[in-house]
Amino acid sequence: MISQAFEGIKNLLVGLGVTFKNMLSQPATQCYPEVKREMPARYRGRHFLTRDEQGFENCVGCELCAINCPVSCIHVEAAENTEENRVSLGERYASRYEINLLRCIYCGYCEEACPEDAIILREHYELADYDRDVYVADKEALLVYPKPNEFRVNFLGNTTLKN
Amino acid sequence: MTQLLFKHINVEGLANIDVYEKHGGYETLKKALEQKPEEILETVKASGLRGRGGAGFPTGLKWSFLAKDVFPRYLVCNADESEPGTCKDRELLLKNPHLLIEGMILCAYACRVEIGYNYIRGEFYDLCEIFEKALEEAYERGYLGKNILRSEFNLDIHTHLGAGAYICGEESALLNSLEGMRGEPRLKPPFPAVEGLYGKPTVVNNVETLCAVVPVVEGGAEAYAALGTEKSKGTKLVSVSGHVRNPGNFEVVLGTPTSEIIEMAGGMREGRKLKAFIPGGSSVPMLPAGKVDTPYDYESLQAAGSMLGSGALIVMDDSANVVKETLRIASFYMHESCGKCTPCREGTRWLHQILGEIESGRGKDENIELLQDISDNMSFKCFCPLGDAAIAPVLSGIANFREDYEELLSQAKAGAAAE
Amino acid sequence: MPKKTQTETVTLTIDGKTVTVPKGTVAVDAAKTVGIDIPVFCYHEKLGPFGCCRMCLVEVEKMPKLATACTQAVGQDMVIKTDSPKAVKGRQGVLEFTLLNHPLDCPVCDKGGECPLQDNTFEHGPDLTRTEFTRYNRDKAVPLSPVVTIDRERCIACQRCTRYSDIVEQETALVMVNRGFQNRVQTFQDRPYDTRFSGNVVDICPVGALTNTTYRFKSRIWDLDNAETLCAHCGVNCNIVVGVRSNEFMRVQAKSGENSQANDAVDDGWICDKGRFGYGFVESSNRVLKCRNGKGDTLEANDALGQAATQLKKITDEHGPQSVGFIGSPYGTNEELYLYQKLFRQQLGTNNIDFKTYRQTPGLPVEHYDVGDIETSDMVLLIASDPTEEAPVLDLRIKKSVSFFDVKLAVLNDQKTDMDKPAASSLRYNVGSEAEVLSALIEALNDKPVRGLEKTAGIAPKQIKDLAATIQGSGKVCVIYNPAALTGSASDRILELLQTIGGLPDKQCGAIPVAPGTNAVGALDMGAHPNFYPGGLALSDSEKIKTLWGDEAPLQPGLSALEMIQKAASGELKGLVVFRANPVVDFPGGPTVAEALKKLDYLVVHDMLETETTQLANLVLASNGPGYDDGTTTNIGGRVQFRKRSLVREDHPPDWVLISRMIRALDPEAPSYKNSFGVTDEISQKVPGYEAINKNAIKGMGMPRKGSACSEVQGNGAPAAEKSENGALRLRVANYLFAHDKILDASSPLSHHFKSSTVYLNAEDAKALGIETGDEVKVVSGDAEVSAEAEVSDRCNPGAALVPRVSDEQGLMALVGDPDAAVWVQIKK
Repeated sequence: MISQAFEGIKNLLVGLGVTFKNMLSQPATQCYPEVKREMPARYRGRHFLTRDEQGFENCVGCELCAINCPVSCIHVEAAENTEENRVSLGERYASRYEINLLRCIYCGYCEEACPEDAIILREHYELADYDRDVYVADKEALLVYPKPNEFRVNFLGNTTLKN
Repeated sequence: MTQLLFKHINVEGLANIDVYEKHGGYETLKKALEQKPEEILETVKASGLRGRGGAGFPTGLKWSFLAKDVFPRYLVCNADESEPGTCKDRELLLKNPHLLIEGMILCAYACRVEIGYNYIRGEFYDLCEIFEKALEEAYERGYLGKNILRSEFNLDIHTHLGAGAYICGEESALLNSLEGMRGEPRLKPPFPAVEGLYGKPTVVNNVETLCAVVPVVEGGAEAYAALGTEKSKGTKLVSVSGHVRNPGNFEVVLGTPTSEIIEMAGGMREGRKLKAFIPGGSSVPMLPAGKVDTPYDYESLQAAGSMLGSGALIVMDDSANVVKETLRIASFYMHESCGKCTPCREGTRWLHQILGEIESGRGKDENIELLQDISDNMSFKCFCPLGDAAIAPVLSGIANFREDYEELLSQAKAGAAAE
Repeated sequence: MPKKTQTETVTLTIDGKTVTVPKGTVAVDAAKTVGIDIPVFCYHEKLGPFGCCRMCLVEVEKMPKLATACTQAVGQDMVIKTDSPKAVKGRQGVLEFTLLNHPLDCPVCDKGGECPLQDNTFEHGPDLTRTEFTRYNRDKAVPLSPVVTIDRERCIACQRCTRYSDIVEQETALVMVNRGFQNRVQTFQDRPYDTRFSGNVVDICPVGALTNTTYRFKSRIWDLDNAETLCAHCGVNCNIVVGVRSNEFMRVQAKSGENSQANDAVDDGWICDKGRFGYGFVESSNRVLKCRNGKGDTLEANDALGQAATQLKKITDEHGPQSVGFIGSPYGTNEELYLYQKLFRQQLGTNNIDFKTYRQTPGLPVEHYDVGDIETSDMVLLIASDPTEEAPVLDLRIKKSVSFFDVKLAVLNDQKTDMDKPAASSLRYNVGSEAEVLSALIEALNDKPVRGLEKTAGIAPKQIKDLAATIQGSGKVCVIYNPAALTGSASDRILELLQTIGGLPDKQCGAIPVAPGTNAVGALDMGAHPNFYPGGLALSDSEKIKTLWGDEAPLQPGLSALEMIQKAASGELKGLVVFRANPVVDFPGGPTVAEALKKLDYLVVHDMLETETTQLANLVLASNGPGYDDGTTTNIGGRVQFRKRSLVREDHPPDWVLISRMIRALDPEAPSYKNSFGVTDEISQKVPGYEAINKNAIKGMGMPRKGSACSEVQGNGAPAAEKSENGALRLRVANYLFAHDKILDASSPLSHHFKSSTVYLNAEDAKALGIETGDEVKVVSGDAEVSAEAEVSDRCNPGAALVPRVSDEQGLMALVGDPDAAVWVQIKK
């Protein structure tokens, strides 16, 4: 009877031991969205159109990204640079550049195909939104380096956009 | 020393018809007009006379290739002498234009041509005036025009001044230029003998060839064939230039050793040794000093790895650097490539760029192989022989004077290491 | 250039495969027949061998050096190796040279994706570049004309364009200048490259050097949906490839060896600039997009067509069938015109159906020659036709035949045209004397004496006799004539002439009538004629008509288009449907036509563009037109081809649906068609001559329909030419290809071709009038006047004033009254 009680207490303590041990150790999960995970540099998150040192767009509107895209989520229209309106250094620039981020599978083939290093995929993974329309990212959106940590938790525990 | 074309060359005022006639001029023509055209053609064939412009094609054979019974047909004299180192036709035109006119009449008679053109190099405008004056005189004496010397044979000769393009020395480009088109070689076949000027049978001959017809007809085929070697008959005008004491034109019997021709030109400069020589103008391979005893004829020079070409002997002594010489020639071909075909247009420029790098001390070891490979890619792949001409000095220079290249390359390496 | 008939063949081996080809074929073409692709740049089958790019090097056994396969004519038992190490190295070397100074523009180059240089580099090129030098920099994006741009860096000097300009269009407008690596393509004396056929150089350029300015950077070729279709401008019906991106028109290319297979029976792989650059009307801001009534209220298509049908039916019920009429257009398809005539004949019971203002009856007394027959003819007789302005690609075909196939060209015209240059003989008769001249020629061909024509026609009898002798001495004669340029009884005389030539011993004779419009031949075949049912059935042929069209088919002769306008003016015609025509501007009379149309009770205008006529309409039906609608057309050579749509309109039914619904609105039993070929099938049953035409038969290259029989040729002598009164000059309205009309509007890239109004006067008349070149003059006829700049030239004989129609604003047709009568004009300063 007593030995049975000892046995029970021992098991209890062993069990509690595991609890206490884990209580003091670092958690494997992170408290998203309060804590944001650092992604590796080559993580394929959201797309971004680059500019050169002089501020000109690198994209020449060649559409190699569009033809390489396995889900056809990129649409490009090109136009000619003029003296008055110079957008990129060469003869041609993308007058329209759109990516459907909902359709995109983040394979990074567009980045591979680009002869000008004009499109790159970065570490941003916070892509949730309330509005479907914003998922067709146009040139204006793609040329701005996406701000990190866009989401926060409101007092009801729901995530919302900052501001 | 047998002199056929240059027999009276230094006679004062030979360009004047009176002086020319005094020295037996137009006598051959008078005799020839008593014969049948076929007989003249046979004489030229039997004489073994070969084209003196560069290719060395038997002249009589060329004439007999003219399309039968197609008239009008044309005779075109190629006086577009533009091969670097060559100045033999210039001397003939300058001093003895009537010899050329007589030769052209003989050729026209043999080939039953009634219209002849003399396509004169653009830079020879002064010679054009001399030639036209000679033509006038010949017309006055009835050697040209209708019913020449009452033989019922008609011939008109017109002159045409080119615009200064090396490629127009190539017969089909010359014909294009003569027709008023761009000086670019034509597709062969059809050859000019079948479809030449204005699509009609045309015989195109070099100035010297046509001049040589006169002594051939004058002395007969046997006498002419007695001169020279088995396959290279007669005499040849050789323009000796470069590092010799007394450069100039010399008439030699074919088969004369090259060293003798150099001696005729006064030999090497004081204290200098022969390093290299180009026997036939810039478009044939250069030969090292060791081959200087090669007999100067078509076959022997070919056996020695070069060609007789247009007969321009360019002599280089030991002060010369073969890379520099090759670069100079390469720049000529880059400038003169007509641009029609890709290998020649792009290749000549690329060769020039690489040679320029080597020459200015920025070369790399692999450049020599690259030069050889580019040359191989041009060799016999161009539209006309200009491309092959452009690589001849490069390949022969590397083969015979590799040390010149290596010296510059090692200097380049040393320079790079020092930096 | 391959000879037209070569029967001898040779057999040879290419890469181990045995090939038998006609003698004289070059190795490239011989290899193609067994599926061996030898890369080329400078060679083009329509331009012939040239051999400058050296890309096609192959090894031929027993030949010491590599041969260029594009210049090497094959011989018996020749052994050609395209894949031997020597040949492969040779080609690789050549490609390295070609790429040496070629910029890495592929990502931005319009040719990227369809570039022979890209393809050949991929297939045959070296893997790495060995040059360490910067590429030779040259001018980029230099305009040669407002529609053709050259990028000199990309040019590989293959000389295709310069040879095209020299051999095909024969203008020598593009030339090579400079030497060696500095050579470049330049226009002759730096003039703009503004020939009629300049756009073809864009198609044949094997790199992206010559580009289409209107397509510059608009899309990449893989974005395009390409539709093989037909050009809708002139009667040649050239085969084109239309590139569309997201239902937006991008570019037009000729259907040629570059993208498909050229239709040698029609265009030989070339198109004119109007066809290539003049497509702006398809997406013009001037389009009629919605149906509307006279007040301007927008109507649904179905409501509008229902209204039109019932209203017309009401008029016929009230005033009889002769009170309605239909003016069609030679620009409609066979299906559209067939359905319209069906509507008017079967549902409304009238023969008031027409599409033209000149006189022409269906059928020819001789064979209807295909355009390709020009090449195999011994002689081409060009009568009153100016192909350069009226059917441009025909101009190329005639020049080709003259230059390469020894075809004799004889020109008989009242004006100087570009065709005089290649012509072996060219006779210029006085304006208006064509009937006399043709009569004289008929007499001469019958070996009868020819009376003096110098005074009336300006031609000596000997000239006519010589021409007759040439015709008699030629085996195969092709007569090309423009029915619209023949005045008076000349439209009968031309048929008599054809009959006469055809009746000569040992003679093959055929004709190509080159009337204005895309489908003038088809329109006649479809019965858009007041006196003929489809297939050239004359009204007198009542038995046949009744079997085909039922017992109630109307048999009383209808009104011609001009008569309809007259009856409208007099109030006898109450209702009129105008289909894709603009009578107010294009019909003789000008403003008086508008007055007549205003008197109609009910005017329906079915058009794709807003015109002066749509402004008068009680109901405007929107038409989709070329680009949006499927249909077949019959070209000047009688070849029926399919004009596929390239764009889609979902908010408006195609024209053939719209018309068939009008029929069904009046007759619910009438068939409804699944697609346009449903109508084509009905045509094949109902139109004699079209029996064999169906979807599969006309696939690709089209198929010639059987020409209909010719009604009896009326033979009576020429009327005496009318005399001029007090120094008036006879007006000749000439055509100008790039007229500034509704189709080529101000926004057209071809606006640089627009011309100002000009009157051409002979020096003799100009002197008498005291007018010099450059004078501003007025061409006056009655109340109407047209201002123009005078040009003194030998374009026409004395006694005439020649005015080309250069724009709608010119108002030229106001000078013309009855087209059958001579128009006399005064030239006033």
